[in-house]
Amino acid sequence: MSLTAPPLPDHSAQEIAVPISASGQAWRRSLYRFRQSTLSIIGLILVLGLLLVAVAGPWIVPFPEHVTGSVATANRFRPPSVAHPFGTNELGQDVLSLVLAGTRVSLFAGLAVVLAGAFVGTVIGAVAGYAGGWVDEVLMRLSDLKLTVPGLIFAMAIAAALGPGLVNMVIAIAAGWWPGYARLVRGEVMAKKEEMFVTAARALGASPGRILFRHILPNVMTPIIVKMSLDMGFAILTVASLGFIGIGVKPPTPEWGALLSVSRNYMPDFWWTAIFPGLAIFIAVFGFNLLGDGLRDVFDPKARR
Amino acid sequence: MSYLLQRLAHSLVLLWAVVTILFLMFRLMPGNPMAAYISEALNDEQQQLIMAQFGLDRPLHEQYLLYVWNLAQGNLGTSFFRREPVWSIILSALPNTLILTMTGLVLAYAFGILAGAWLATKRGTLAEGILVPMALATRAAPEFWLGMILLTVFAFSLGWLPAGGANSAGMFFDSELHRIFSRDFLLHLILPAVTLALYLQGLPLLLMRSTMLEVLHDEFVTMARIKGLSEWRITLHHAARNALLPVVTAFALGLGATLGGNVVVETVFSWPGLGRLLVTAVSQSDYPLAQGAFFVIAVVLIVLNLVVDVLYGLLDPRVSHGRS
Repeated sequence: MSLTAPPLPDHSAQEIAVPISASGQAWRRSLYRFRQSTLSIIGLILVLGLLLVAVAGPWIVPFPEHVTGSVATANRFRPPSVAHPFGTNELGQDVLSLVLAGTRVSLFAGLAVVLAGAFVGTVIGAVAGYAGGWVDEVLMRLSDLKLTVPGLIFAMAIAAALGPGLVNMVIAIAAGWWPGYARLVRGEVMAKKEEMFVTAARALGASPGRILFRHILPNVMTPIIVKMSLDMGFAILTVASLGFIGIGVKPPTPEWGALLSVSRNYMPDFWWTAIFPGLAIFIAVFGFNLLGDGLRDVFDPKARR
Repeated sequence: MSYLLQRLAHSLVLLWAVVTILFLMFRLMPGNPMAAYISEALNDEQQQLIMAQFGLDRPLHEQYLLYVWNLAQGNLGTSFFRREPVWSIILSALPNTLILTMTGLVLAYAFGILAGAWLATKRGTLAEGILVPMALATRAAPEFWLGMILLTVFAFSLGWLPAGGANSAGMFFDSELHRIFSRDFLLHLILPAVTLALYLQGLPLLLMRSTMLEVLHDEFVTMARIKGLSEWRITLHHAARNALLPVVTAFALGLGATLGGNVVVETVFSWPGLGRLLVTAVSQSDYPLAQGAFFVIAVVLIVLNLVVDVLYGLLDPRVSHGRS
């Protein structure tokens, strides 16, 4: 493989390449931005809808008793109808009710994973970046370790040790979620700690803790929040994957992945038990991904993929 | 050369850390470690055997040394449920996983690179307006759900492809190589590999498209246009070659993520690979098997990362190895 690359010293030189025509470029860019923002708005609408369902869940579920585990076996495997728009499952429970109730479980688990990961990662990254030296070295090698092992497999290992359950699953996933944040915050802190306002704070006699948490961290919140929104979709997907392979949340908790895991056994004939929970996962992940992309473009226009 | 040694040392330290964490995780769980290791299904003799094998009655640091010593000799213990050496169970699953992973990755990147390069030349058209959101959507679709749909359509409803496993029941082969290159195996491979590829193709496609868009404004592309070369030739021979590098990086970094994705796909298609083994081991609390599978996956990833890192430096002379 011979890569005949131009001798470009850095990335910024590529940015100021001569466009084909300035007006054409501007027009295309605005078209691009518009389409991008359309997608972000779709993402925002999806996420708002999910949040609404998660909050209003108990009041809008048509068969609340099915969510808490009551069964109606006389009614099992009914195809979608007016009474049961998503059909019923192997226990005669209303699939729509389970999917609606699952929104709260998935959003809560996803949010908890991302919040915990961001919190731990921020503290570790901030300490590593501010302290430097061997502290930095040890903490970053630790994050290397995690970056080598895929998130789902790491979470499986920890979940295996902790046992099933919603809280244990959140802990298992979050335990592998911090290194990305640690890297991000470390870089930002290392850049910010040389700035004038930090020197000023130090001259006033502020302690390292105060400088770090009152002066530097508020200035690096934006990239952290952008990363959190980008991560939400993948966190929800990881939660559902663990539920699907039967290591995360188990029935009767109406978790989307766990619902799919059960319906797998009845798949060819009773497709509705699988299609709708899967669709819910898809909508949630897609919505958060689009919103995250949009937020990144707004707050951090330089970063693009 | 010194870089190579340094990188090798780094990998070994990483490996040691993985081994230590695996040891601590399964030993220092809350409660009595014996409870997790010895189930009522085992008779006294087997309990004694396991205790002797793992040295569970000794102090922790001795247990640790024994564990590392056993690992170094390739002794991963014996599965609780299958009563076979963990090593031979893993060895029979490993080829299936590697073949599935590589097929999925190659399909995904071949399609993603070509489609991404083509889309970059379709800026502002209807094709872009439809295909880019579609690529984003396939990245959001859970693979297990996608796999279940494909399975229902192509295996259960149309009956074109086998519904699961890696080989039909009752098939026997002279050797592992005969098995892998048999028509039967390849037919079984199609659905899981396509599912994995559908999930993976979004990243190379979007990445290729965006780097192509940058490269297409470079001066050497303008130069090629001035020379009067065809757009097709400019796209493929001039721009795409230069846009490939970030995609190659993503490919390398994606290896780990792919093995993670494998776990789910293997479960859906009952593919007898490492991922499914891991799921079974964890859900049956078969700790020696789970520990062994985690260890082998970590080794595979560490070796792959090492190889990719070294190859990357060889492929692109601009990559500096003078890191601290």
